[in-house]
Amino acid sequence: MLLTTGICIPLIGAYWIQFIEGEFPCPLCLLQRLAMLGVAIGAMMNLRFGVRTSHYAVTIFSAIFGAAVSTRQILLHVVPGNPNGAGYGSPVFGWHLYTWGLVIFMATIGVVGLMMFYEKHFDLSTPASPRPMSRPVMAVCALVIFLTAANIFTTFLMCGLAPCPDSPEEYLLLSNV
Amino acid sequence: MRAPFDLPKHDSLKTGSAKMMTALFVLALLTMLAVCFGNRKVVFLLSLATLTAGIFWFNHHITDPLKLNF
Repeated sequence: MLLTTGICIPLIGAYWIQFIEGEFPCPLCLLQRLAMLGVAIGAMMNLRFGVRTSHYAVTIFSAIFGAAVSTRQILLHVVPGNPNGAGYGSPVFGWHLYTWGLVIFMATIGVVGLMMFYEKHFDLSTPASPRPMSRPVMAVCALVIFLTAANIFTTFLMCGLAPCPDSPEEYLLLSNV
Repeated sequence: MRAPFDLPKHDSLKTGSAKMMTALFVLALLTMLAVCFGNRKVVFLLSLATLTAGIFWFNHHITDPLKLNF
């Protein structure tokens, strides 16, 4: 549950940057958000069906995907003397969001690795059937679902039916009204 | 005033192969709903589909030519 809640923090932070700071997410930023949602899906499966290695696999694959996207974006902006400016967007505590993204994805892989050392919490004696969810678990799952729905809405507003522009500067659908 | 859905023409729309990035998040939402409804097989299937679509998009962006001027 901590992993599910924890992964919501950067997603909410990204929305803070988007709406309060007025910076639009690039396509690679959106892919990193998607990877974070993938991490949350694996954690949600543990909450719903019980702890299984296959659920951790979903989390790890999503984290690897996210780390690859973050690394690609870091390499894009690491070139010294880039006339387009140093990095995409404003830094947060000295690092750009995609650098934080890489740290989060690597930390996720590390945390899952540590969890896999603790074998007692794997419940392999019973089949992985749906379990009733407590109120806190339901609240966390609702938050993740809300963030995903919000991403659908804002991405659609920003990009419409086409692939997102490389450096978005407006909500395409709103600018046409 | 243009109509709300009168979007600027994009290459992919011109060629008729419109690719919607929003669809990735729709897939993720469907996966989460499958978790809530308790269908584990569907969750795995949708997770795989989401990851595959994500990698397809990633490939689309990493093969873009760089626009660097020095």
